[in-house]
Amino acid sequence: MRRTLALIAALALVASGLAQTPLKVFIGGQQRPDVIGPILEQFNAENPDIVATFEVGGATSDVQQQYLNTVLTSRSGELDIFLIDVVRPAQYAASGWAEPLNQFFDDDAEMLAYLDDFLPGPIEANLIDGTLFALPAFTDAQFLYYRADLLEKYGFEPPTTWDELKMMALTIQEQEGDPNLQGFNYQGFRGEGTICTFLEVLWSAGGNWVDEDRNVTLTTPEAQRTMAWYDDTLTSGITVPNIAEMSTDLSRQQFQAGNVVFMLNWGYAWAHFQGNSPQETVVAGKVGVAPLPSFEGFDSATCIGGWQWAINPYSENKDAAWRLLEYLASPDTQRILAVEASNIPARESLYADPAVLAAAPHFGAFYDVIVGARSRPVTPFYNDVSEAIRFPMNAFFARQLSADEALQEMQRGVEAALDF
Amino acid sequence: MALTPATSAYRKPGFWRRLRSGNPTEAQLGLILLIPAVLVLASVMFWPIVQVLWQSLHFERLNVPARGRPFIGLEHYARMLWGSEMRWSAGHLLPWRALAFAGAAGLWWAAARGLARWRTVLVWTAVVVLVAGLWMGYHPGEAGRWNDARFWNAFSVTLLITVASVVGSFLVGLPLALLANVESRWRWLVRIALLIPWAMPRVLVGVMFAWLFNYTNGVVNDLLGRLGVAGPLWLARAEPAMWAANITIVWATSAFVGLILLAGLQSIDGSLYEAAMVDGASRLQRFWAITLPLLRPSIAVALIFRTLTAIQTFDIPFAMTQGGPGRALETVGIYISSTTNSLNLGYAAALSVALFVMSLAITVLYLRWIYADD
Repeated sequence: MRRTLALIAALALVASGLAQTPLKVFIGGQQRPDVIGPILEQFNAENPDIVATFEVGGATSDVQQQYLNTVLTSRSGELDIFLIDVVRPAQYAASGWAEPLNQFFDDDAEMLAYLDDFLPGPIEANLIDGTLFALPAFTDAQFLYYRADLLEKYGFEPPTTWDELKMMALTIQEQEGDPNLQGFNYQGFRGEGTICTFLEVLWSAGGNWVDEDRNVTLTTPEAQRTMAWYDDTLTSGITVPNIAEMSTDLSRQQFQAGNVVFMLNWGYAWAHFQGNSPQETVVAGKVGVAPLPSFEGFDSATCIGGWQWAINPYSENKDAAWRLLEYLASPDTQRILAVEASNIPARESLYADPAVLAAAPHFGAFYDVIVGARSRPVTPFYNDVSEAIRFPMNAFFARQLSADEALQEMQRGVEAALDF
Repeated sequence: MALTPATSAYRKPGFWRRLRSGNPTEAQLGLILLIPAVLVLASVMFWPIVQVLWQSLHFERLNVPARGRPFIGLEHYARMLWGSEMRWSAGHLLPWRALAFAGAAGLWWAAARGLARWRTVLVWTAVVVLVAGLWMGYHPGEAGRWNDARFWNAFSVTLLITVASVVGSFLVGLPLALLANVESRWRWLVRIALLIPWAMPRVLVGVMFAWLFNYTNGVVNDLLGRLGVAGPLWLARAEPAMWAANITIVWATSAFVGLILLAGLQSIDGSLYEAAMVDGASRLQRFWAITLPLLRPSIAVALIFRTLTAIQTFDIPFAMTQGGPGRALETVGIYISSTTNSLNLGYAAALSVALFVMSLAITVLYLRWIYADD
């Protein structure tokens, strides 16, 4: 009798397990599994018919992408939802690797109304020819970090033009007399960060990598002006000669050690500077954030970053996945991510949210920069385009290519990448 | 009725009959026992190789799904080696072309006069044609537009790293092995020191040495500075980066060479040295006449393994600079990985086949060298 009861209980348990839809979410090690875990638990509690779990992959955009390449090439449905970098949706759309989300709305008007609260930058990346392929999880941008204490000491306001930045950097370096003090630090290594180094200055000179007809325009006077500026940072001595080995995190560490006056870097650096970091910080309370400078008469511009939630088209539980996706992109979830993980919200309403501003007062200062952030090339061949720009840039910083040679190499490489 | 013999002449049972009888011959038994291992090897080694070869003959870009996966023959190889836009001009590499032609003509003339065997001449003609073809690929003319200049750069970077790091790890590994073979109280210490670099994950080694070679914060330039020497921009300039990468690879791999050579040293009979000492041979003479010749099989094994891993170098240069500065450290392995990440699987397969052919060629050369005397 007891045995029968136990059997019935076990069967009931199995049956209830079957009734629940399992969902698997893929995130990277850098995206705070400790914060995502409780969010999913909360979702499971509110939705008893779904059991969402998550899997953690590598800690950089490239490594996460390599894993997803394997999963999606084999058309596996084992992951239902994944986080992808803001540069990827175009490629996912071309490969059929992200489920179009329009089907979950009654019509396009309803969809656009839903998207209204999101910042325009991330939506521009996810909405391709009217089809929505992902929803923003959080956003990011490159900022100009500066040493507020040093600028105040010499009576400077944050620079608005590159010339001002150079003048201030030279003055401070000279007056401080510290040979280890760098005036201006940015990313010149052969990684992804370097494409932003190039584009941001190009945009701030009024140029772009393509014109309206998508002809590649990398040998224009604007592009030459960009290279001339970077050449100037090296010859004037405001930038260290080893900029070709400067990765994103190396930049952050040098600023954090108090060796840099101005630096271009992403939002994550802020938390490190305030002491939430494995390395010691000597700049806590001495850091300011400003929009990037531009050339006289042109607008400032910066690269957009951040991550997007997408649904795997090979998933067998797309309706359940959409419910989770909505939950993950909701203001409540983005508030938790902002407060607990310092992720910059992709929803406009949260920049006035008291809880967010109490936990991260600097987001107020970030806002102006973030709304103006522009997308890196939106193309299915992003990897090739990125490689075609960052390799000549890195070779230029290593003094292997002259400015003109580097631009010609970029022009040729990007043209080849787009012409397949 | 004439009696006919009831039995016909004895016939050896056929292969399948013998097998069915439940009493297989030794050869059959061996074959049966080998089948599982062969199947496993075929499925995990042979089949993937065949698949990569097959894939390299197809257009396959995951971000261009509309084009499908058409068969394109050798197009990838043509693009890699000579490029689809390769045009011949009369003057392009004329002296080299003339030299190759003269060499081939000379060989054939010698064969026709009976001065050389036809088989030898054919082999050497193939070698001349191959070298000339590679030379054309490496000098494609006008601004590298004729072929995949990135492949040729990766090819030469790989060869340079292979030659430099294999020679380097041998020159460092041999003395280490000799040191570890000396009878002393501290031998265990030397042996542990030998093991540690080998046991460390390569990526970790790469990251570690990238820090050591950092221009502003690195230990190497700090030490050089104390000696009054201004250190180079190790990882921010092409030439020093090549040195830094090779120093790192030699550090990480000479331990492996040392360990194999140490095993070889220990198998040398001590009485040989005693006999040589009785005959009054000096230390150096003993090394040249006994140690080195008897160590040859171990040296060959160490070099083969070292060379094969060197041709496939990916981890240390990638961890140090992602193949930079520029493309100074971009090996074929890094190029394959980058092409795969761009989702151009067909071309990545073709590059992998090229790497496979390079490894195969080197292995054949070594094997010939080892068995030269046999």
